[in-house]
Amino acid sequence: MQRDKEKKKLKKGEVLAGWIVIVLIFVISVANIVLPDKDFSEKENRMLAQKPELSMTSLLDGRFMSHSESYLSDQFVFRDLWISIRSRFQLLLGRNDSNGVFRGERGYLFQAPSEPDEEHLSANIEAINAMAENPDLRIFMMVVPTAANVLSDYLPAFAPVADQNEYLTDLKERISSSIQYIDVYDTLKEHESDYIYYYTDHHWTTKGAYYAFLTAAPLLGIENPEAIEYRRYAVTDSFAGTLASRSGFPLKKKDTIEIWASEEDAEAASDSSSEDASYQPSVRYVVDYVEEETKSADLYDSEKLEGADKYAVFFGGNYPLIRITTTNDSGRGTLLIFKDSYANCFVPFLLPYYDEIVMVDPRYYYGDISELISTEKISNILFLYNADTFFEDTSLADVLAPQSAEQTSEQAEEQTGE
Amino acid sequence: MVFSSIIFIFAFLPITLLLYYIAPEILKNPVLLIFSLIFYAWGEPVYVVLMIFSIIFNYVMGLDIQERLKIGKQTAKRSLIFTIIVDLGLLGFFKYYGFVSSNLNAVLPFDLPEIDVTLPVGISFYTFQTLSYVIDVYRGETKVQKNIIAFGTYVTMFPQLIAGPIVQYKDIDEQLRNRSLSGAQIGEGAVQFIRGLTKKVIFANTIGSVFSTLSAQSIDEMSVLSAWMICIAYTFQIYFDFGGYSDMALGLGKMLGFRFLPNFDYPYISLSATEFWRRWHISLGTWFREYVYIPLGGSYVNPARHIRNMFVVWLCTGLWHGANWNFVFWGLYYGVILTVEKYFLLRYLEKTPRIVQHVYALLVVMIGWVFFSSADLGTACSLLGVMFGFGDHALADTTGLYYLTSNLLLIGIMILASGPILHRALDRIILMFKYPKAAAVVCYLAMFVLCIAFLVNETYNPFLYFRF
Repeated sequence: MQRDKEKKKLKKGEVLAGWIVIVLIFVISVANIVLPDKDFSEKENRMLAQKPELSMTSLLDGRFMSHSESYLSDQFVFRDLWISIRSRFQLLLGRNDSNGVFRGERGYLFQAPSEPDEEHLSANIEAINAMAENPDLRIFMMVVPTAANVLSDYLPAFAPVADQNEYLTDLKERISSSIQYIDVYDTLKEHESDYIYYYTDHHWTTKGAYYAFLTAAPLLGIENPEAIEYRRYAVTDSFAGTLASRSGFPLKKKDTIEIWASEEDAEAASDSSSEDASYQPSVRYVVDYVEEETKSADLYDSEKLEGADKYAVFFGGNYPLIRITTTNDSGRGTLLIFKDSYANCFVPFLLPYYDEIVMVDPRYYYGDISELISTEKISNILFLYNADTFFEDTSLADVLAPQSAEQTSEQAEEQTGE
Repeated sequence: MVFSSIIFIFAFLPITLLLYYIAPEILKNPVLLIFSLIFYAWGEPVYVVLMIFSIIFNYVMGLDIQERLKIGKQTAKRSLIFTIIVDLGLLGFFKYYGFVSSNLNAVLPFDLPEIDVTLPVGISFYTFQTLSYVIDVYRGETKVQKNIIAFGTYVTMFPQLIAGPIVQYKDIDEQLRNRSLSGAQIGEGAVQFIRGLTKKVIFANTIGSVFSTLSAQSIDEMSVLSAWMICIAYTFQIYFDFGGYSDMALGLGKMLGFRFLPNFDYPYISLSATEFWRRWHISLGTWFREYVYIPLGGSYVNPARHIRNMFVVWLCTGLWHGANWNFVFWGLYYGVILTVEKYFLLRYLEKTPRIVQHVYALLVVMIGWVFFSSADLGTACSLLGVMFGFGDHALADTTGLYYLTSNLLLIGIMILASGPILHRALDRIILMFKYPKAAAVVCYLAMFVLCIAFLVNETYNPFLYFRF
């Protein structure tokens, strides 16, 4: 009797639950249609899929279907909420990784170190070594270990991450002896408790970059780098970086981005606007975004602080070719930097010591490097990457030794020859 | 389309249910047929033609066999054999041509042409369904279906279309003509769907990503712990993947007024391999028993013929799962073990403590899954070698430890969910509350919300039985 009664009760509950779920399915489906679509996800920092177009070919090859599926899931109601529910539940289950991001101690999120792409890596090293054979060029190289390496003590227990130091040691052995390698691992390790990497982003902080600069300066021939004193400006304290959005983990802390300005600059700034204490640079240099054909008197793009990718405050993000001309007369001439985004907060520290700095991001640059070197009269070159991008890079060799470009120009000549 | 997708749950399902529920009795089958074809065409816009051919062909042949039966058994038999040859021929071509030709080309003096055929989704399932129909018509075990809409509905019905259960025609003949649809049944069906969805999305996908991450490692450098984690992860993944999908199929069936026979009955609580196969993919086992094993004489023949019958069935079972040597091996592996169990082992096994029987059965099953999941036999053997301590392998490494510790709770829950314990405990807990109805609602709603959260942000959602 008791048993039957219990069964009945359970069944009634299940039926009710089932119907509520069915109603909910209908409500969510209608909401998905009615609510307006979004173009861009701030939180995930990516474009969202839009309504697919229906055609016979897209139907037959299945593109319409796969597009509809990504459209529906990208434009799902309260998408961000669902994502955070998932990550929280996974944490509850004891999983500290999500989409290749580890949730470490002290609120640190870590990107799993990438493993070398051997084919491209050898090509890149070969191209760099070839460049080093030119006696007129002095080449420096700084491959910055990432947070998962330097702060490995804060990784979750047993986290299966590749040993980046092994790759870095291997790299040092393979590059030409005429290249000056700048090893910043020990410096960063020494300051590991010093907020040298962002908690929620894969970049290093301005402070991390500064410590690296102090290590690099003597090797670059910069004397007394500590002579310039910096005033630090926290331009935002609500930076939730790429690792936060990629993993969807709830954040213990958000990040603060700092801009460091020399005392001189800072004073010049406070003179010009006495009421507003926020950072204003004095105009002593011009930043020329060559391919975009825009110029700026500012190393920093404060508009980017409004968006999700706040790290882009440094130089407004990554551009193929940036030329910074200064009023300096340093006697060191022009420095050419092949770089990824790690360089963006590092370069301001170099600026007082060069007449001109040219930054090339090989991922987006398709120009002729040898021409650039001769027209800019470059004698110093710095390769500045973080280890993850460097070991995964697929574009450096093509930019340094553009074989395909030569071939195409040869072909073009042949054709005109006919 | 798969059930565990946003597009199914929030576009296909509501539209289909709405039209199906408001359609008058006479239009319910046509609505179901049309939407099932859309469901299939969504993933296979070209092969839907093949399925439509299969429907028409078997429908016509069913009528033909019925007519010939009035004249004589012989002529009906000829028609049946023709039908079986065409059905199996299509299945054979699309599923086994690549496998057979590549193996034959290795021995033949000339080369068979290479034809690049992709496997039409669900063909193994629906071919077996149409075969059950024509055979049963011939045997007189079911009436012929004169209505092509009703027959088409049987073949294409989307809940069981792409991954079973393999519904035999005679089991739902009556339901195709006349079925009742009650509010209680719909609600129950929805809950069963949620349970299946949870198994698939929360359990199978999560542990499946562990499997795929770990098995991407090189076996030479693998630790014993990692190898076992791979095997354990796959064991759970395949059960919750396929079992969850079957639950969803049964639930959806209920929501449409159909009652399918259960496909799984807690297979991992089995005490022998024989029992495992009574609890795993029941509809496939039943099909082979009724249409292969018993017609060959079953077990009512001398031992030599009986053993032959066993091996025919297990060879077919292996091959049914895929055109690859490791599936053949996997099938024969069970053929050997079940024969040994029947003639020898079971008698002794039954005298041992239950825990011994249980460990034995699980080991047999897990070793089986290693053959099943590996790319080829060589890989399977190396993995088993690492698991059982052959060669020079570390006992544990950080990778293995990380995946063990970070999935310990999940594995614990999955162990409970593999038997009836978790389900019963859930019922107990719900009944402990003052308002069990409200507790049930909260519980299933939470499961549903979690599944949606996983699906919206899914990174890993394969479906294993899709390949078959």
